[in-house]
Amino acid sequence: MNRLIDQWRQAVVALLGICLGAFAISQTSAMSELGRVFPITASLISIAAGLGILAKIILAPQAETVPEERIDYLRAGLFAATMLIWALSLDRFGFVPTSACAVVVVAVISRREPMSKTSILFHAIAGVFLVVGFSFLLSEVLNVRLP
Amino acid sequence: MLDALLSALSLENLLLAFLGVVGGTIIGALPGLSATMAVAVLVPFTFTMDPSSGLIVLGAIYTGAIYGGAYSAILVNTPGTPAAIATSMDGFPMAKRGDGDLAVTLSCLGSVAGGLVGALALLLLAPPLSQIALSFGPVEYFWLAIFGLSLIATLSRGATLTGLIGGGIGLLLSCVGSAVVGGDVRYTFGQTSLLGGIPVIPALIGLYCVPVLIEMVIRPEAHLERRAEKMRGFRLIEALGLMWRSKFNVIRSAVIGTVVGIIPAAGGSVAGLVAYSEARRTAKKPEEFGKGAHDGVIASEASNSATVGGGFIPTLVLGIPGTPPDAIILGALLVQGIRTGPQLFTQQADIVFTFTFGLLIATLLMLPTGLIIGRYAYRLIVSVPKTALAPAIAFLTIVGAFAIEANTFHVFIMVALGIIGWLLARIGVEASPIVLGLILGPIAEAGFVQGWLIGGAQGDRLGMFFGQPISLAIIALTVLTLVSSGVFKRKTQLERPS
Repeated sequence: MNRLIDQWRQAVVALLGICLGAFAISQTSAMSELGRVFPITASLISIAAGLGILAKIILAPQAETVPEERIDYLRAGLFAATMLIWALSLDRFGFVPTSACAVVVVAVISRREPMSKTSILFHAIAGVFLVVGFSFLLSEVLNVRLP
Repeated sequence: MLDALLSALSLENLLLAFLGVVGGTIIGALPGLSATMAVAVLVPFTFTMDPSSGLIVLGAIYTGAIYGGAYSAILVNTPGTPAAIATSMDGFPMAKRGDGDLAVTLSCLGSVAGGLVGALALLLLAPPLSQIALSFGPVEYFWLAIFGLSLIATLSRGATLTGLIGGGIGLLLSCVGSAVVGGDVRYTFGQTSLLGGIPVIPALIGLYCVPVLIEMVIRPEAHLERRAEKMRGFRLIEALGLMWRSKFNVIRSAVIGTVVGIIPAAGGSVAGLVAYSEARRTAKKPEEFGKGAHDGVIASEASNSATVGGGFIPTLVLGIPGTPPDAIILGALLVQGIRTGPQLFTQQADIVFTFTFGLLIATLLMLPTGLIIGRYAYRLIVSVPKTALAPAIAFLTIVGAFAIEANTFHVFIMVALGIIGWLLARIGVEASPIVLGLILGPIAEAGFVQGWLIGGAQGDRLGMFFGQPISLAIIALTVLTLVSSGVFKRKTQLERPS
C-alpha cells in the first residue's frame, strides 16, 4: 500500500514535469531566438526528468516506502483560504482591519480544541496590538505606504 | 593605522557600532526585511555623522542584518535574508530535533569567524583582490550559477530527478517577466504586474515559510521539540568544540565568502550555497547534510558574513559595489563627499582604516549581542503556543512580502507560491531546488546570452565558454561536486540493507 502511494506520488511529479515543460515550450513561439533559449532549456530539463521518473517506475519499481500520513485537509484548506483572502483584501479593506481579523481567524484555525470567548478576546487584543505596532513601525519608521 | 584603530575604539564609535549591530540583527531576523533594506532605511541617519562614524554604523548594520537572517532560518525555516537560504537547510532540522539553541550559537560563532576573515581581507588584501574580481566576465558568472545549480543534485537526497523537476520549475519561474537580455516578455499572460518578474523575496518567504505554517496548523504536536536539559544556556562550550573540529570548514567557507563577496552582484546567497556545497562535498558524513548537520550551518553563516568585508573591497577600491547593500553604502559615501578608488587608500586612508577597524569591532560585538538575542529568540519560539505563533508568523510573512515595494500583488504571489510549495512538498518536490532555480536562473541566463553574443562576435564561442582559466576552474569544481554526489549516492544505496 505504502509503495503504491509513493509510486503514485512519483507519477504525479513526473506528469507535472512533463506537462509544465510542454506548456512552457508551447509559449515560446512568440519569443526571440535568444529569449527562448533559456525557457526551452529549463523545460527540457523538466520533461527529461519527468520521463526519467516514469521510466524508473515502469522499469525498476523499487520505490522507497513512505509512512502513510493522515492530513487535516480541512484545516489546511481553511488556512490557505484565509491567507489568500487576507492578501486579496488588503487593498479593499485596509492593512490594519484586514490583518487584525485575519490574525484572529488564523489563531482559531490553529487551535485544536474549541476556543472560549475569553480566549478569542485575548487573541483579538494581542492580534490588534501586534498589527498596530507593526503598522506604526512600517509607516512611521520605515516610511512604507500602507494600503 | 594606530590613529585609525584608536579612532575606531572611541566611545562614540563603539556605541554606534553596538547600536548598528543590534538594529541590523533585529531587522535581518524579520522575514522579508533584508540587509539591503536595513542599510537603505538607516542611511539618512548617517548623513549628519562624520564619514568614518557613518561608515561604521552602516557596516555594523549590514553585519548584524546578515547574521540576523539566521534566526528565522533556523527557528521557522524562513531565511530572514536571502543570504541565510543555506542556513535553513540544516538549521531548521537541528531546531526540529531540539538543537535550535545550539544551531543559533553555531550560526553566531560562524558569522563572527567569517566576518573577521572578511574584514581582515579588507584590511590587508583590498587592492590585489579587487583586480581578480575584475576578471569575472559574463561567462564566469554563467559557470558560477551552473555550479550553484549543481547543488540540486546534492540537496535532492536520493531523488535527483524530482530535484531536477523542482529546479526546472524554479528556472521557469525566473523566466517570468521581461528577459534579462533582449527584453522579451515571457509567461506574463497579459498581467502587467508580472512584467518585473516573480519578486524573489516574497517568493522565498512563500516557498519556505507558508508550507511550515500550514504544517504547523495541521499537526497537533509542538512546532519545535523542546529539550528541557538543553535549555540551560548558550551551549557555548559545545559549539566552540564543534567549531574547532570543523576549523577547516570555517576557514574554507570564510575564504569562499570573501571571494564571492568581491565578485560584483554575487552576494551572500550565492556564497552561502557554494560554501554549503563544498562543506558537504568534503564532509566525512555527507549523508547528515540536510538533516541537521552542524557543518552546514557553520559553512553557510561563515561564508555569508565574510561577504560583508569582501564586498567592501571592490566598493572602496574600484567604486563597484560587491553586494546590493554595498551599492547603498557607496551612495552614502558619495553624499559624504568621499570619492572611492585606489586613491582612497592614500588620500583618505584615515577614513578607510577607521571604517575597517570599526567593521572588525562590530563583528566582535556581534558575539555577545548575537548570543543574547539568539538565546531569547529561541526560548520565545519554543515557548509560545501555536495559537499565538502561527498568526504572528503569518502576519510577519504578509508584512515581509508587502514591505519591500509596498505592493499587495507581492503578498498574493507570496501566498500563492507558498500554497503551491506546500502541495509540491506533499508529492516530494522540496522548496530548495525551486529557490535555487529562481535565484540563479537570471544570473545564468544573462551570463549565457552575453557570453554567446560576445563569443559569436569574436567567432570563438567554444573558446569563450571553455577557454578561460577561471571558467575551467569553476567547471572542474562543478564536475567534482556532481561526481562526488553520485559516488555518495551509490555508496549509500550499496550500504542500505536490502
